Amino acid sequence: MAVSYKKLILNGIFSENPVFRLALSLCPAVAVTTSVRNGFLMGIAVLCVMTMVNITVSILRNLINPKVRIPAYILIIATYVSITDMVMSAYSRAAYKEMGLYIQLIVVFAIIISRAELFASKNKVLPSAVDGFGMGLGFLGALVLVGAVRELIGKGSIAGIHLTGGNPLLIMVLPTGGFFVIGLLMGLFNWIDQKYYGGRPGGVGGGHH
Amino acid sequence: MGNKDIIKITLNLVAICALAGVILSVTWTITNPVKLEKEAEELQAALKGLIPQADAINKAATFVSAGGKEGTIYKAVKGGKPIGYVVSAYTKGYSSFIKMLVAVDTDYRIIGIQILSEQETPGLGDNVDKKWFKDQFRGKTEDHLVVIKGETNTDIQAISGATISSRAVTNGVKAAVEALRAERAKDKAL
Amino acid sequence: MDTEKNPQEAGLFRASVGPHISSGESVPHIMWTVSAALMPAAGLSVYYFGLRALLILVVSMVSSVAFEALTQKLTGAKITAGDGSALLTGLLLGMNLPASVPFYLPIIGSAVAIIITKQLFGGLGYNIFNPALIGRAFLMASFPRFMTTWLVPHGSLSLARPDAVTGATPLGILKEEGYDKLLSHFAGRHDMYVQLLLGHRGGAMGETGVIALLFGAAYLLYKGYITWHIPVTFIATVAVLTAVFGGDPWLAILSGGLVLGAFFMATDYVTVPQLKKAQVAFGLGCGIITVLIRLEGGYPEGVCYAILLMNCFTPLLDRAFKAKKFGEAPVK
Repeated sequence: MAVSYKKLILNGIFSENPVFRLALSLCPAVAVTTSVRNGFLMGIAVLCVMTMVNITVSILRNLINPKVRIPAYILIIATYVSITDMVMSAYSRAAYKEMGLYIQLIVVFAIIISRAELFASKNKVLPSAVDGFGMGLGFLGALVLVGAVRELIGKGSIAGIHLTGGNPLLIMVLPTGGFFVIGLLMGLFNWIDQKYYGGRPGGVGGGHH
Repeated sequence: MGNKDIIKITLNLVAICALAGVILSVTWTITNPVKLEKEAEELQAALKGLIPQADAINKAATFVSAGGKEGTIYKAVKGGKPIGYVVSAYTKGYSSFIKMLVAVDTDYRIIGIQILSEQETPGLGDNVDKKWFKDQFRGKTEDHLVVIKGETNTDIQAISGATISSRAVTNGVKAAVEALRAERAKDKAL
Repeated sequence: MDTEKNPQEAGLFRASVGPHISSGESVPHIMWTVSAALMPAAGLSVYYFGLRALLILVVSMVSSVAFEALTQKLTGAKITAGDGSALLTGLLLGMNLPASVPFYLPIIGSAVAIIITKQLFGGLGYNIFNPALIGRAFLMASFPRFMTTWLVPHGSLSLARPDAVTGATPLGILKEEGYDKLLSHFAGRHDMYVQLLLGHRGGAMGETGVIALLFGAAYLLYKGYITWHIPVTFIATVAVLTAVFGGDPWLAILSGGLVLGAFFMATDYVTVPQLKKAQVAFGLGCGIITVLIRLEGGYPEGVCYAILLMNCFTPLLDRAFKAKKFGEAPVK
């Protein structure tokens, strides 16, 4: 099977975007995306963890007994998340203060274990790494986009740069606003897909966290 | 599933756990000293920020703060004599426990306060971290730690739309001063 | 395959939400009547809060209708913006605002109410939540300062935003400073009830004129457009629970937005249960949540959130109290 790496990357970013298309890992997508900066940091953390997990699972795929593969994957994910947590707490204090709570939550992100189970456990190392990277990019992009919309409307700034004066719509930086923005962006993605690519509404579905 | 299978599966998991354990302990050994050192530096910077003229500010006692959390009293010394205290305490805000530092001089007059962490409503309650609000505490004694809605020169003016958070911080400051009094009454050397 | 297509989608027939009573009462007729029933209260608020109140109400209504027409045009749906339902939403939203808010607030509120809460869910009859209340909740979360700056009745003809004459609502005073302090604003308990009934107090435009609201509600009850089940259980629950927890039940009824909410928003055909027993349960739930928020919550008033929370349970309540079908055996 010839795997097109470009296709794998694009798959993660667009056609199977974790947040907008698969509706996976919505909790963090709502919780941390109050600004571009937070969305970006979380996205980078997930991107790293996901790529490393996919690589590791792919390397070990013939050594892990299929009967205990899920606990094994969780252990691998938890190890990488703990490493990220420890490294950030020591070397990136400012970011850790804002993100610390959410970093540990990466362990239970459905998107990571689903890629380990659906892709990395069945593919060679390089494609698995590319898949993890592509999915991570899709997640990163989604978080930055949601963060940008919420920060712009909720605080009147983008990436900390003040753009508008007056009274921003505070609700956008509250969790409620996160749901509003993700819902509307999901709708927009579906609309684009239907209008330009002939996709069926609700063709791919998810709904896990 | 035969016995052999069970042994194989167990070994499989044990091997992964062992490997993960080794990796984690190595990472921890490297990162933890750095983390502790930086945390201590940050705390010292915050304490020094409140009482800059002190030669040294060190932990002197602990007490039970709001929500059963541990509060800490730091003693500021200059030329061998105590010149003030910093109390690290919690207070129950509108939507979170607010952690703060309260600096007082030896006469229990507030030198300044600092908010270390809070998760109050964005745009309203989180204004407790605004300079104008925190600056109001400077020079106040306990009997003026009262929240007033509207203009006041003697007491603490509430943040408009966030009376609960304003009151929480003010009461927290008061509780911190009281805790310090109580600890000093118990321990004369403090 | 075509044969598997949902008949409703294929346009064979349209399923609509109840009530299915055909008594010659059309949607526009009902909507216009309810709007008319709100007129005394709206008039009173204009009398108390001045021309500015009128303008806020008009902006709210016009923008609601405009957003309805706009969304329907963009989605290619049949334009029914003139059926009065958007107008009613706009009117209710406006009455839920303090008269001192800037004019862009009712416009943002209408957009949220009509586009997000109503049209994106499928339009009239398909929305889960009361659009006007979602609009209000949205504004409350976004502009807490504007939304909690209440006007003291002054009857000014000025359109400028007044800045000095702000006062707290009775429930706000109750929460912040206690019952005795509230009472001290009036010449005794009896005077307080009368003043509250007449609406001579700070508050949102629509919640102050209790007597005018009751007048409109009585008309709707008489015409049979609303039934007593929800409003009466709602208000009674609030009164009883308040008394149980040591409060003043009359004050609980007359202050805040309870009368407006119970008669005009917890009776919205689309978002509340249709079965009588389910309606009683709905009113009970609203009452309990309202009292919990008033006594224990961060906000002084909880009617809006109580109704919205109970809106979620509407389908469940209707199902739970559904009459057994003929011959249906009880499930063991």
